Amino acid sequence: MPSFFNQSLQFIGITLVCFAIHTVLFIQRYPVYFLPDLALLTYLIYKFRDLDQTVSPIFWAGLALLFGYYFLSPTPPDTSFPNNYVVTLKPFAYLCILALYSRNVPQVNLSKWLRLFLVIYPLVLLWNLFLVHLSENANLGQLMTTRPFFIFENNFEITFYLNCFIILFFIYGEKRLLDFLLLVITIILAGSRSGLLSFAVVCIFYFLSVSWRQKIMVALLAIGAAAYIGKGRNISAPLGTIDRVQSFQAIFDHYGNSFIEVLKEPFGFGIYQKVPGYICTRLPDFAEWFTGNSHNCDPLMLQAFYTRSLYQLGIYVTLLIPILFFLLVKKETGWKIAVLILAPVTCVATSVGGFSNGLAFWGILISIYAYIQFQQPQLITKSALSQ
Amino acid sequence: MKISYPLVIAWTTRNWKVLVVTEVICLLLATTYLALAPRIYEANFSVRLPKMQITSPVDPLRQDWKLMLSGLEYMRGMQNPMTFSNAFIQDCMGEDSNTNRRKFVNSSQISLLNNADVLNFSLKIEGRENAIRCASLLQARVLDDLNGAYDAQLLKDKSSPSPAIAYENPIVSAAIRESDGFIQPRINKIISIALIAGIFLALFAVSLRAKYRA
Repeated sequence: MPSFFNQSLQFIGITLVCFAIHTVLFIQRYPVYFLPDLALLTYLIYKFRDLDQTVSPIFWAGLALLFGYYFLSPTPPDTSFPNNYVVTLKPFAYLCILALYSRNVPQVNLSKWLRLFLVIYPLVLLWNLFLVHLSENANLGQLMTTRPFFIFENNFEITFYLNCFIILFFIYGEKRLLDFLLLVITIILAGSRSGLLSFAVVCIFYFLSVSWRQKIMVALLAIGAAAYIGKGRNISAPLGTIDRVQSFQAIFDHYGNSFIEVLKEPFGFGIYQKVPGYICTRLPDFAEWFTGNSHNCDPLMLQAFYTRSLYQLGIYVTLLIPILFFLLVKKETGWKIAVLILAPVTCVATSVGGFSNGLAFWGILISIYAYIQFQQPQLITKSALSQ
Repeated sequence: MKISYPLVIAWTTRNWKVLVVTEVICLLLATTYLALAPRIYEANFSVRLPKMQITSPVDPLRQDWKLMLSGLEYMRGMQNPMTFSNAFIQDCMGEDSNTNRRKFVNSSQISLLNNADVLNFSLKIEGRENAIRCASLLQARVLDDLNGAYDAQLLKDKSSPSPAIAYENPIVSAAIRESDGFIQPRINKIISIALIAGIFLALFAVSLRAKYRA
């Protein structure tokens, strides 16, 4: 009884702290985009002392790509704004980090925190909707089209959330329908189309690993979630009206709509080049949205990771990035779990972020750590185990 | 390859002198390069392509603006080193040689702006005065070409039963503008390369020493 009481109290306490953090961010709108990378840097420095592992040769591939693009990309005219090229280089840095730190597991027992996040996150999304209702007097119809979030853009958070679900369900083997129900609620609340795509992929694996009774329930829940988001985000609208499809079409136009022309740019146009002016003019809102200036045609305006990479890094490197991530994750977890771990980020890369997003990378890193902790529980310290 | 904290610390403690020496050598080389490398300046300008207003072939009540020549085709033509006159290359690059012709084409970058009806030229040439002179010569050459296309279209339309409704001649939409300072060599990049090269050189030197001492 005291243990249950303590756990409930802890849960309520942490939930209230999350609500408080979200409320502050909701009111103040502090810039938070750097937090996942700052946390990653802190972790790298803190765990440098425990560095001890065989490093995959992929580390050198990541390093070569990082330096290659940084030093050898052609520069844009002096009269144009500089690009935020750090975002483009991040996947290569993440590859190096993954190769160096994949076995540098934290001594904290991750399972407890992952379970907690799985439950608290949908509650925070509901809290966000409540705050939107309070501040804007929004009715139910307006709330249905709102994209609630905790700290970051919800596309990023959904990727991380899906990774947490994958850890609990596929790595720890805790096959609870309640967790799936929470996932469905989160996907519905978030209203993310790329999140729905990732969810659909996870559903296929889920479907294959549960009993017939659960299969029917899962299918019904998944169809319900898809129908809800389909209605809310107007998925039946013509493909050409979707912003990411528009930016892809615009870039494909630049290659004269020819796949051969795409193949002819093996390393893309580099990290400093702007989106061609005539394409940028066609999508003026995108540039303004992402850079605050419709004349600053930073390729970030293309939104989708794959489209941006296709233009900046070329088709071969764009394809190489997920493959290198897969090889690194596979080395630690085997190919089946690696496919599952990378499914969310690979799907969300059709949208903003993807492999260049710090939170998505945290999802991959924590999935590997959780797998290693599950296989070798002795890596968790005694004090963490007793929690 | 095995990497661990004790290994990294032990390597650095044992070989810090080699590391310092290689870093100093690389930084000295970088400084020498920065002192001797030619200063490249950039000049930019934009030219609007000639256009004409015609009756839409799809809807006779609608009038569309059409380019007299495709910007993309014109860009491609300018990438041929043999397309420039001897006098042009001589005035711009000092001497008319095949190397200078290739160098000129490689130092110019052309892109499409607005609704693909404006050509932006970016020249990266050694010396501040050279960049401005070459840009002026190129601008005059481009205007000559485009005015030629404009005049030819006007002449063609004189004898045509359905001439265009209105015309827009080519104009300089953004005058020649030079970079604030030299754009190459880039000091921060050269120094970064030197620092990274110093580390790799130290690794190489230490492994060589270990191999030949053994």
